[in-house]
Amino acid sequence: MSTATRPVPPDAPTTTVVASALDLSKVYGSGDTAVRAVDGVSVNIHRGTFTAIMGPSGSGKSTLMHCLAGLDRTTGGKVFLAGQELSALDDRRLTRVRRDQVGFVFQSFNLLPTLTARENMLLPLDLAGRRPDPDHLREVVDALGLADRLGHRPSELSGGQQQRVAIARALLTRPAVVFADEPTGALDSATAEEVLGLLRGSVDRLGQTVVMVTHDAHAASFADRVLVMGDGRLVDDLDRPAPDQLLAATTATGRAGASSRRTGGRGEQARHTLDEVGA
Amino acid sequence: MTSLRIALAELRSHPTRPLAVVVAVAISVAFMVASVAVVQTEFHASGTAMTRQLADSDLVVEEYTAPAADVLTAIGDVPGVATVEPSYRFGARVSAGERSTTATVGTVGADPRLHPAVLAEGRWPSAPDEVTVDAAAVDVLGVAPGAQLVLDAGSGKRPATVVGRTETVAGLFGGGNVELYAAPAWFDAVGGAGGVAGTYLVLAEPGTDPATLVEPLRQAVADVVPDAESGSVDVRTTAEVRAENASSALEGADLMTVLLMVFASIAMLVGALIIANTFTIVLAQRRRQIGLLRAVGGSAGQLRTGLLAEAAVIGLVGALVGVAVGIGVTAVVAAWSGSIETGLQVSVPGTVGPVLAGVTVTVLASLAAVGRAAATSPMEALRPVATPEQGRRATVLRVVVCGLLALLGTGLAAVALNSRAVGLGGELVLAVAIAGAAALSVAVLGAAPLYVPVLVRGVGVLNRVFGPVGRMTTAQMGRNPARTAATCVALMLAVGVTVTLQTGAATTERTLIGDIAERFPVDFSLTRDDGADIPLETVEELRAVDGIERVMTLPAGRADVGGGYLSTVYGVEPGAADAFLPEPLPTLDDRTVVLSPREGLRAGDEVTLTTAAPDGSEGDGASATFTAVISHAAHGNALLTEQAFTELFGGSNSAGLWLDADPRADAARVVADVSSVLGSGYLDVGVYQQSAEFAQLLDAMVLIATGLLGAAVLISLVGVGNTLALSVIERTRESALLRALGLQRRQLRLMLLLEALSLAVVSAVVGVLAGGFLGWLGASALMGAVGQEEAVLAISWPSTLGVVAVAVAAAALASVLPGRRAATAPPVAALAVE
Repeated sequence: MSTATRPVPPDAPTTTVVASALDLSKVYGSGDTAVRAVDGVSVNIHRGTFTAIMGPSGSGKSTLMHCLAGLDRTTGGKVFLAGQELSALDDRRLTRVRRDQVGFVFQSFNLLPTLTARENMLLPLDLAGRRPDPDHLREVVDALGLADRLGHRPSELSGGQQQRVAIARALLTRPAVVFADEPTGALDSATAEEVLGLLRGSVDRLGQTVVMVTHDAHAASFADRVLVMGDGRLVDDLDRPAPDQLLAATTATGRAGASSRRTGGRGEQARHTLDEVGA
Repeated sequence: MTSLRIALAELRSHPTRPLAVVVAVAISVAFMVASVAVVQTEFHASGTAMTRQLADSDLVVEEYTAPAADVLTAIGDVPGVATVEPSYRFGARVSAGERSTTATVGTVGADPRLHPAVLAEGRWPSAPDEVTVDAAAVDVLGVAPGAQLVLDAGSGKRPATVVGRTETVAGLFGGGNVELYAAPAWFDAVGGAGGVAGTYLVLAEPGTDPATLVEPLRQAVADVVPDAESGSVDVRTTAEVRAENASSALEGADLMTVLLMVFASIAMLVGALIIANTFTIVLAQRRRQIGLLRAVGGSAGQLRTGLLAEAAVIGLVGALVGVAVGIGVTAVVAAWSGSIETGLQVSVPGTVGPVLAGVTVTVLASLAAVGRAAATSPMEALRPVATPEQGRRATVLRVVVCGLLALLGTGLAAVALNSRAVGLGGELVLAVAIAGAAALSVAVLGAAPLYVPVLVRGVGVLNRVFGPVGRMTTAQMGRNPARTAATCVALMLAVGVTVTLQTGAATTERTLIGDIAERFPVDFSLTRDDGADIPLETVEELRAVDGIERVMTLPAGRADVGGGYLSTVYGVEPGAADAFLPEPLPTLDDRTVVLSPREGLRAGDEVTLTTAAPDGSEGDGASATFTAVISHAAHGNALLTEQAFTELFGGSNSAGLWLDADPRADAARVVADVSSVLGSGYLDVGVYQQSAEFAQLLDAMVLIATGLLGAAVLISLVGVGNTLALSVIERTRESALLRALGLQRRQLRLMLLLEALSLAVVSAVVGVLAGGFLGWLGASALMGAVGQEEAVLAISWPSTLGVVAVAVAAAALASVLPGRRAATAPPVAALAVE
């Protein structure tokens, strides 16, 4: 396993593997138009760690995360999460794994506009038919500073507040892993700093496992470990890298570096708009 | 033209988006086209069938008084006449063993050019005891050539042999009648040689213009008829008769077409609501594209033109599909009824009209949505998240207008319902009721956006059973109240109109039949028309009839009951008679007579009864005077005690027969069974048969109308499916999120199912309540207008619940495809969609 190439983090003596990919690949399309988004990646994620997956647009970092989180099916290889092999599960069981073992934080918050902040937070527990542990709920709500926002609907909250509700939603099920996809992509830098701090805090104080996909070297610097992707492969695996180390790593992939953080998203949006018009 | 080009490009790349509009327009247009074409085809067929009897004759002589033999001689003597044959048409009771039916017997003469039908097998009758049958007779009697029949044309039973079978000129309005043909000799035997034929078919000598024979024929026939009747001779050329038949058939068709167009308009109105709704949603999806067009310099006017052109193209496509479907439906109906043989009648106005209507309605229905879309400012449209904004001002206006209309409607309805108290009568009641119903309908439909969200929340309480899924469904539906309301309004309208009709008919039926049952409490009240006693075996056979509960023979005779009223007199045993009557007979002794209420007769009046012969002619003239007791129990007859009857008629008999039928029995079958036991020669003064026929007629009308309104229900369900499908598209991201968070596929499908069911239940409840009230209002007003007493509210539960069940089941069905679409999308793919 590729984990042999890197030392175990010193402050994580419990090296329990909570999620892992084994020779994972994901191919979109077939024949001439086939795209290998992820190409034979093997990686272990340890309990209680904060892992960032970096890489430029199209490097396969989001696809890797989607496969690890059971959102997407793999084309080859195996994925394990909380002791279950995801690739062997049917849709019903896979859905249950996502509900009970995975928490998600998205770039665009993805709260349900018709539900209040509290209802949004409790949605996964609701779907599972579980009642929230009141102490845990209070702890999370207080930690995220949402106590006076519980009755508000998403449209009445700022971006930072919405993302904090999303983080609360992800934490409340006590999932095996929280996956965050560009969680700061739609936030201004001060709010982004705050959100990253909250994620870091959940690892440090609650012992939560977090995997975060990001373009941003600064965001990645909050992580214990940084995986660098390029062209669908794992090109680097850094332990608590210094900022210059990160910069070097990302530049080494030969693509646009940290400066592409915001433009990627916009570019996609712009392209989409044109698609619609052209259609 | 740029705007049209953009419109067409849009349609090419997203052909399924306006699918609901195409379907809604197609159904309405198909309905209209088929209505017109089916009616015209069928009337054409029946017109053809009518003139078929005239065969290849040149002239038709009609004269209904002189003996056939005289008329035939007179016509035959006119120079230029080659052949003349009588064309009798007799009604007869025909039986083959156990089975019997009524039939028309027509004449088939010697000349093949005057044969009234086409022979399918066997030969034409020539002897007086031979007949042909048609397909309907074969169906009803189960006979084939060679079989023996018994015919009774009112002058006793005569055996006849079936020698052939004729082709039936069928058609929706012509079918079902049993037609037999016999040689003129049969008619001579039945009616006597001096019988009257009525109609005579004439063939002119070759080379003679039939028109020149009209006057000589009239003169010749007039000479042989009694002077007083000479004006009744009618001679016309066959061509003239055909033309008249055709034009009168067309008039009938016009009336029916107008009636069907009323239903078509309802379907179109429901369609318009669906179309308006669909355009609103489709254009909301295209806000960004529209904003971009505005940003690059498109004017609001250009956009409007383009979008309206798009609507027109969609409407045209739907209308053309509708024409094709409508003609197909007509062909199927005509093939089924047999009218296809005389040709499909698809007229240009009957096709172009519906197409124009379809396109116009589509464009008009799209106006509001197009206007809103075109007025979008470029910045607003390019804003990333669409927040639906609800206009508060519009709500206030709606409350005020709908509130006033509801008040007005309630007031008018109250006046119509209490027409007696406020001294309103005749057609004015109907006018007030119609105005009230219109005001209430508009108020109920217009106020839908106000109360539908409340009702949806109410139904949401039930949805809670399904836990978070149910709660989320209710929250989703509250999100776009305007759209939810619009969808509901369409379904509400369809359900409401159907239920109005059903309740109205049921109320009318209950009221009128209740009235009939009160006036004529004895189901069958029979006497032999020859005054003979009822045979004992007939009584036993009637007792065995399924659905007949009680049979009683009683003395019966005919008498003048004063004031020139000739009626049947029964001698009744009060105890035995009570079983047949809803309430016990009033005090009856040997000096009283029970009579039905009639003008100028008061209880306690002295009435003299004078006996008459069974056929109503003067009898032996015995008379006696009685004190009148007035009761509906007499059901139009006179009731005496058995003792008084014996004294008056100089003896007793058992010529009268009362039957009591089980009210739950199938009336048509009971009537058929009873009449097949009795055969002819009985006089029935009970009204069981009439009320059964009346109820059957109303039921059939309601069934047909419900079927016709089915088109409207269908269109509104297209709307439900469409609303769901578009919500699914709109909520792709949310659905994906929920799936990512652990919502199972079946839970996602359940959400849509609950949404569909909530829509259907809310619409059905409002539709049934409003429809029930309006139906009752309409029936009450109708009863008031015809001077009937209080209308008795009756709801036709089987058909009303049937409509509700169809609406709910179909709504559930409508959620299946959108549900699959939503559930099969993988969470990642859906999250990626902007």
